Amino acid sequence: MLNTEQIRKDFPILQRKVNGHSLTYLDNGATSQKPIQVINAISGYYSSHNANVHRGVHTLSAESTEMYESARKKVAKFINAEPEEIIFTKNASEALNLIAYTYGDASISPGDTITTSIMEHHSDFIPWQVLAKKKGATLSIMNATREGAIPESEYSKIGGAKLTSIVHASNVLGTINPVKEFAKLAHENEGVILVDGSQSVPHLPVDVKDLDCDFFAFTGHKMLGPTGIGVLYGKKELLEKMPPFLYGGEMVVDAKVDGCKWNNAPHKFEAGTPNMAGTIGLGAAVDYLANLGMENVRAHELELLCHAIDSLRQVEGLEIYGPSNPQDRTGVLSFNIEGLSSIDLSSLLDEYGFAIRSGFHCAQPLHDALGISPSARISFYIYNTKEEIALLKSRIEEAKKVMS
Amino acid sequence: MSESNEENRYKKFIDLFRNPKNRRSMENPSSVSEGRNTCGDTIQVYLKIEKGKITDASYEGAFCAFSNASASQVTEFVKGMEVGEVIAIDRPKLFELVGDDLSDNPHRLRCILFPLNTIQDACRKYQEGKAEQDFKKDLTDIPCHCSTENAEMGIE
Repeated sequence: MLNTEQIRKDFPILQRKVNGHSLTYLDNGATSQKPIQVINAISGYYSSHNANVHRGVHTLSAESTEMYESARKKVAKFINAEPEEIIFTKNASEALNLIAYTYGDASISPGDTITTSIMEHHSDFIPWQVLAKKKGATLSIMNATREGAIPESEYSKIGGAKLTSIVHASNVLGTINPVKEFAKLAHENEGVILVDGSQSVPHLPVDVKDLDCDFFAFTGHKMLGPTGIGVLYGKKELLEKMPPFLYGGEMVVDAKVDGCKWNNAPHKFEAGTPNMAGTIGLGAAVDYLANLGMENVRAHELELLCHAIDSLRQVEGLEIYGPSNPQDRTGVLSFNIEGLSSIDLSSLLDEYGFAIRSGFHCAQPLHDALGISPSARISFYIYNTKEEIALLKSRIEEAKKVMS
Repeated sequence: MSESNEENRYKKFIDLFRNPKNRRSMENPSSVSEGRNTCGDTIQVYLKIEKGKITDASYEGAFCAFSNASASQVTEFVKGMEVGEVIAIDRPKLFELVGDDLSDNPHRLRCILFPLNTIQDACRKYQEGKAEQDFKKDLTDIPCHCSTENAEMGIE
């Protein structure tokens, strides 16, 4: 189990007041807060080591390169990949788009099928919608049950697809999809599978080799890291065959007037000066999480989730979306309250220092499919406590009184 | 427990969102428009217009209390107004109607703005539709094959 009291001391922002109240931060699905270790890593990099990577032979450049590549090794180890299979991007959206613009553009032909699901974040939906239109391909969408699971009857859509892109854990329902099974199905039918792990890597142990997915995307800022740094994992043999994404420095080894020879992966996909401080900050975030142990992170969130489900179910008129078995979901709870719109609830809670999300959470097709209004969402992380959930429940009851 | 600014604001609006005026559908409206707020809230606005004047205005949809209060006030206010006058309603007038400029809570400003924007959009549609009708009337002898298609996503 996590020592929440000790952990909270590492997060300076948790000391501040919001509207005169202690901050209760329950919007971790949108972005997590940052521990002092990450803040110090970034500030320390700029204070003592800043120089461009892979470009100079001077001491600072060597230090900077070493720190940057060391972060790559940490990230690789964290998800059980090889360092050369880790591409740094600016966020998960860019990582997903990278596949659409490189692998997707090169491999999808008219008449092919791209499969995704109705529970995708817009970042893993729109790239495929656009690619399918551009290529004259079919976009096949796996539907979800009212409970928020993809029924087995939908799995056949993976079999017919050249490329499947699927979210590992839904940012609205919390549903953890059986992506290992999806990967097996894709491979049995000579398809390739990309997994959006933005909501899984920060909260669950993830082993990309075990999942056997071909590509895996996630973002740094949801896992204690800074903004502006994301990750794309790709199987080495696929990355080597793929065309570059952006062109410029770093991604080329031989640039001549009549043509160029591209660098090897991952550098082939990292044109231009990268986000060095962000990468090093992410490395520190990975250290922090690895030190806690992802099994422990998961256990902590599961305990909070069970507690929150039991607690919020007592609120009259409150409907929770997603799987009823907490084991099947991450620490994300979306809900609506009869007669109280999610934005009104969020506003009223903000007055007491609560940060919760309201709206579509960038998953409008899912809300449309479930026939639900924009929803309120709470999402937990390592520093949240049962006391915060108890306080949340009483504030929700207060908010209901204001509106009744 | 002392009340917060936001709670006081909600209490000020309470009659408006408990008993909104004009929150209903409309048969055979002269112009309709659908608005979507950035948070995902939606509103459908219906206008009945005779000789350029709004004779009835109503709305429905899924939205927050602020939007509801704003839509209620604005639909009531525009009845009897010329279409052009409605398009000219500015923020100070809206704040006066709603009784709040949300200066201490600017991220909710869009909640009170989007019903007005949608009503103004319905007025513009009416004006454009009328202009199109007048244009077609002038061209009655010329066969017309024009059609409108939904805007594509910018993809060939």
